[in-house]
Amino acid sequence: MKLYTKRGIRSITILGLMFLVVVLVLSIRSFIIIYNHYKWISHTNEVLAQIYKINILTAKFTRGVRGYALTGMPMLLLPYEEAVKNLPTEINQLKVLTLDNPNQQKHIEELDTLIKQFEDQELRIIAARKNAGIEGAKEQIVIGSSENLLNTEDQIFNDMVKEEQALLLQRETILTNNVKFMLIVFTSSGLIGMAHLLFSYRKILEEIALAAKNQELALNVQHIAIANKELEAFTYSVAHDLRAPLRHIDGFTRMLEEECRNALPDSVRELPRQICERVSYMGTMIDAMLTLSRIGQSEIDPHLSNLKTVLDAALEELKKEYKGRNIEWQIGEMPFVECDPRLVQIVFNNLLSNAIKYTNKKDPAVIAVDCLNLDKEPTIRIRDNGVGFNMKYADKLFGLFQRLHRQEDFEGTGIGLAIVQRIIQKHQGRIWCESEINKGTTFLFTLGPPK
Amino acid sequence: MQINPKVMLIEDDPNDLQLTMRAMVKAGVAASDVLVARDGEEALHYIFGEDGKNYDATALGTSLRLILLDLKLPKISGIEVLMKIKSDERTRLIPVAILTSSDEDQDVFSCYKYGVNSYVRKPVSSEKFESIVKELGIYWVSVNHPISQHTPRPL
Repeated sequence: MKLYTKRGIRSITILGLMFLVVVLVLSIRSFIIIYNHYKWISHTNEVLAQIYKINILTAKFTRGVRGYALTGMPMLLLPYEEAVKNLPTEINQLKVLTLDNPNQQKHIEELDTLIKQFEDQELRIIAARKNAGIEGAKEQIVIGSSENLLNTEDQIFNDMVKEEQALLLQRETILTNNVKFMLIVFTSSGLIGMAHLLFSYRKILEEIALAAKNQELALNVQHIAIANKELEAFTYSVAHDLRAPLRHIDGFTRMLEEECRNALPDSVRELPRQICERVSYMGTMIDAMLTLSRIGQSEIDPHLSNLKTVLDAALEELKKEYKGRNIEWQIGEMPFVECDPRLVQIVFNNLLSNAIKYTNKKDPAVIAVDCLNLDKEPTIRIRDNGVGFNMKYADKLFGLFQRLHRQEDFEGTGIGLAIVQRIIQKHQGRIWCESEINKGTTFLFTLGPPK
Repeated sequence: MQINPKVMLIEDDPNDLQLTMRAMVKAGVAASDVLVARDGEEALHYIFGEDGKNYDATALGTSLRLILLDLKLPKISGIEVLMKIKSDERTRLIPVAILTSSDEDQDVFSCYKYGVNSYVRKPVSSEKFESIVKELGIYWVSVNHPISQHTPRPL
């Protein structure tokens, strides 16, 4: 899944963080709104309660007076007196409670005025009863506008209640909406959080598995390196131990040859000499194996070296090999490279020796040494116009004791390239070749990992 | 026991011993003129031991014309034997040639500081032996090559 790339993870995490920040901001805002509206709803209920309280008081008011009008008993005036006493305070309270609402304030003013009128009216009724008895009170009640006043008062109360109820509804709606919003936000955050966790969990498990695999690989590499070293040491000790008996066989065979040469029949006369020759070759092979394993086991000492110097030293050593030959040398610019010059000289020695050897049928032989691709991966190239080989067998070329030409045509043990490859390996470089039969051969190698 | 041996061969390996003996015989040394020791202890015993079974070191010092010494010997090492021979008044003038196999070449060079005179690579052939004789100037070692038969070196 392509989300598992570094960029993918970064994008998802940033997206997640942004989302969470937005959620946080919106949540705080919603909480504030909910809190405020909750308080307002309380308040509105308080206002409503206050309105009802005043309503009850004015009812008491009326009831008291009517009772007295009917019976003349002063005791029945008590509710009226209580109401008169408390009404101003309660009305004031209502005023305070609705200070922020100009409509309600207006209503309260109207109410105030109305109640004052009402009070006057009731006072007259009381006075009439006192002075003119029940008939006087009846008259006052009839000509008075109490009913109108009461109706108007009811109207005002209704208006006020309606107003408050409308406000209540409004605020309740907002509250509910915000609560719904918060629910959605929390749920979706929770889900996204879980998704993110699962995603991370999987990724972390993957990383752990990968790290474990890497560790296993590194361990394998280490094991292989150790096994290689052991193999090289073993090769060395075996080759070393094989030398002595080989030497004895050589000696005894020579002895045989010297003593019996004339006594042997023709059919077997050459055998001792042939045995000697093979024994000698075997000695050369063993020496080659010893050289290869010594080089394989030696510690590489890399430092910045002038390849020109190394090449010149190799050419100097090879002078006696091409003495008398007509060779055209084409030497190009050689760079400074981080390598072990002692070992690289062996590389040059072997490759140039091969070039010299396999061009011995050409006149003039042309051998070119140059360096390619300097900035990215310096590659040394050695070309010759010699006998070449069939690229089909190219992968055998570096094998130990492998040769692609007959011993009679070109002498050699087939170890030179094995040594060269081992040295290039030690430098963590690569070596490869191209060739065409009778046209020539090119070897290319690097002395380090690609930059 | 040989009387007045001309050559002493100190070699532990029986094959190398056989081959070296043959080379020397072919080059004209009489087998009876060769004193063989199979290890360092035996060699020193012969040269310096004084319990009647051995030689008189002074006498040996006179009669021995050459000591061929194998470097890798069991018990006492070739180098120790060399040191003992070259540090004793009675024997230090005897020419000593180290017998070496090609992986001991390094050791040969360190022997020069102990006074070794030359070296021969194994397997020893009669030609190699003859060239040692020539090099060390010990022509009277072999019966077959009296002085007159050697071509003098061109000046």
